[in-house]
Amino acid sequence: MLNILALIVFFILLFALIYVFGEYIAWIYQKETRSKNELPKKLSFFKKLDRPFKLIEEKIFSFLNIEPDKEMNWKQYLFSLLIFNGILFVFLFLVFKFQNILPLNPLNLDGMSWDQAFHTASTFISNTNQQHYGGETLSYFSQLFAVCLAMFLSAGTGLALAPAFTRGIQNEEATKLGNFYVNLIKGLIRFLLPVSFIVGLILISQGSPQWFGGEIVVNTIEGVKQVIRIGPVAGIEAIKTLGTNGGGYFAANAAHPFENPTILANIVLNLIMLASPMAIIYAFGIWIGKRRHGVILIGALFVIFLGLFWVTAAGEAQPNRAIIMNETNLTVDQSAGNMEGKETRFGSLLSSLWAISTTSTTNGAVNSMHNSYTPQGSVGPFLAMAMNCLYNGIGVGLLNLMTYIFICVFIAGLMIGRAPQYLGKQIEWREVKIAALIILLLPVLVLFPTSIAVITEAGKEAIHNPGFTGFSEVLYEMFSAGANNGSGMEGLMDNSVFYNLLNGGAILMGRYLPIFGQLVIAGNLSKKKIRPETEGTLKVENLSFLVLFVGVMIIIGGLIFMPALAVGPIAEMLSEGM
Amino acid sequence: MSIKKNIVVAIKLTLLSLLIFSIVYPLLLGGVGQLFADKTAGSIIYQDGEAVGSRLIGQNFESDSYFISRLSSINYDASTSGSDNLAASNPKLQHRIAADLEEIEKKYHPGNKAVPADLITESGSALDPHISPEAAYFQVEYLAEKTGISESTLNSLIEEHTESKLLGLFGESRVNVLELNLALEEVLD
Repeated sequence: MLNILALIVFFILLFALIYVFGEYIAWIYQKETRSKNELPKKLSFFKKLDRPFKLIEEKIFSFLNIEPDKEMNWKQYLFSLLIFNGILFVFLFLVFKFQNILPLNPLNLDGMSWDQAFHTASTFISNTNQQHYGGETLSYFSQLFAVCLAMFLSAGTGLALAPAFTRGIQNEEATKLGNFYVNLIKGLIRFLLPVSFIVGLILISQGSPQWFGGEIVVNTIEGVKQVIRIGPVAGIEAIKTLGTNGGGYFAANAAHPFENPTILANIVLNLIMLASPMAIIYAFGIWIGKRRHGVILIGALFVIFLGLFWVTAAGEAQPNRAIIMNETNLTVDQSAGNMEGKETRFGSLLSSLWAISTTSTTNGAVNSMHNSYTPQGSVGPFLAMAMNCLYNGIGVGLLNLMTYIFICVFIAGLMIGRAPQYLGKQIEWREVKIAALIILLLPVLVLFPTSIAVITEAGKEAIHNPGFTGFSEVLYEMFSAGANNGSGMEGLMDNSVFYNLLNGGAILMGRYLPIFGQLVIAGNLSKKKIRPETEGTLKVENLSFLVLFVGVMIIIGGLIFMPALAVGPIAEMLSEGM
Repeated sequence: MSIKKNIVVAIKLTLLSLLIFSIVYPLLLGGVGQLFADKTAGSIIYQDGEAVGSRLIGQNFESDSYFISRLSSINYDASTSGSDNLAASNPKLQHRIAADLEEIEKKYHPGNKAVPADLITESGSALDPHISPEAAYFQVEYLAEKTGISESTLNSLIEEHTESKLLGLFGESRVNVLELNLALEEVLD
């Protein structure tokens, strides 16, 4: 009962935060999305921030020598995005490769191999943050000038796509989607930077260090020397979580007491991890003048979220089978659930909540080790990654959601024999074709590499746990890469040329191909007329559409991967009974 | 924008971002974070002026007169982190658990008392500073015998050092092992 009360309190806090973040983000891009909705009176104090922010932004625009009013069509928008991310990629690659000769490396850590630097640069520019290195092998320079930088900029890049896509829907027979640099800078300066700063301070108050003095050596009361790695953790932790990044400062990620020191810190991090991508869906409703639509979309996804959470939480509340099977005559008290790979302070409930939150938002940070989950417990994170549209990454989450909606509108249109239409825009074969290709891309990026990995020596020798779990490790890793999730069943020894290249390639394709397709769709929609809603229009706000929408997501997102999941976690679950 | 102009803007923006997000942001945060005193520097605990550990980072206790922490495959070497990631179906985990249970049986003679699961499982970080209160109470009988401190004194020490759930709702109650052992030492002196 107490657990249910805790969850209710958590979700009330979450919805309050979504409201504030959502209204705020909607306000930031009010002009860029041609939104007619104003900030509600309760939040009108945000308007006082407009002047100082504008001053900073104008300085930046004039330094960069760009004219904010010069807007771009979808091709120019994509082009600017790719060039900006491309330059960032080269920079990150060089920092990781040559951190040994760069400054701020008091421990004289080595540079990465070229393949690992490729993988790490790919994963950070794409907001994926899959890590084939332990955080402890990065110098301060790499952490600050590569990781922290990319966490802001990749999140900003994702965020900048949401208003552009929305403009495509709002436009009538026009081509311009907005200015990429303006959207990027506004998101960084007005949302990501200030909120990260506040969250960073909360984390410091809880004990997360922000320290530049090198490692700390203590003599324990037993007279043993303990070397403690420390660094500017709090600031990176804040943007890592807010920007759906997920790459840990330490190998243990958010299970590490310096990254996630207390229960309060854990709750705050879990809240902002969910709130930032969810708030953008809410903001979308505001932009298109239908707050209700945003709320309904969030609600529909929330049903799936709760279902997955229940599966995992119930799984992790069960005892660990390896302990049950022990042959000593001692009894073990496993009333706290499966505690292998979990922190005492979080226990199984907060660990499960985090596990579903991190996989359904493509965050990828972990506060417990998914490899040690019960088979039932690990099904939830798997499915959350497979659907790849549950809230998802910051900004791109909205685009992925729209991709599913177009498919859904099309199917609904076919079912009732009406021309499919969404928010006044007719959805035609071109849009549906691209949307279908985007959705089919994920299975290609996940299942092909998985098959390659399990039939080659290079792929198999990395497997850590035997049996079905071993297959799950590989499948999980490929999901994590293809879906730009970044979560890991950390057992897999994935730092090899084979995995670095395979995953790195999948990560880049999994990020930029959908963005390409979605911007094409936005460009197409932008050119169309807005048709008035009539009696014959398909309603996207009633219950039957929602049921259809949830159904399509479960069928497409879940069932494509059912055969593969059957060999991994499901097989393990079934074999447990034997 | 032309290709050339795009590249120039992108490079300039990357440089500006380095200044803002890699230099100003972390330094300003560290500066304002000084409000929280030692917390920015790792919450180090001092005993007679000497640093003996961090309140947040677990330690290994091997001596007979201290409470023990959870298992750690890295032996609480805080220059690294992360557990062994063993799945329940992995024979390695089954062997580890069997070996640890045997050791616990030899050391604590629990008889019919149930062994708290957190004493034979590894935390995710392998640096967990806490154990459950049950795991602490489990060790009382043994420590009373070894240290000569009465069981009731040890029990009240644990009670004093038990941190409850947040708002009585979130997370689990726990005991910080290093702080508990420091308190135990004080009693011994």
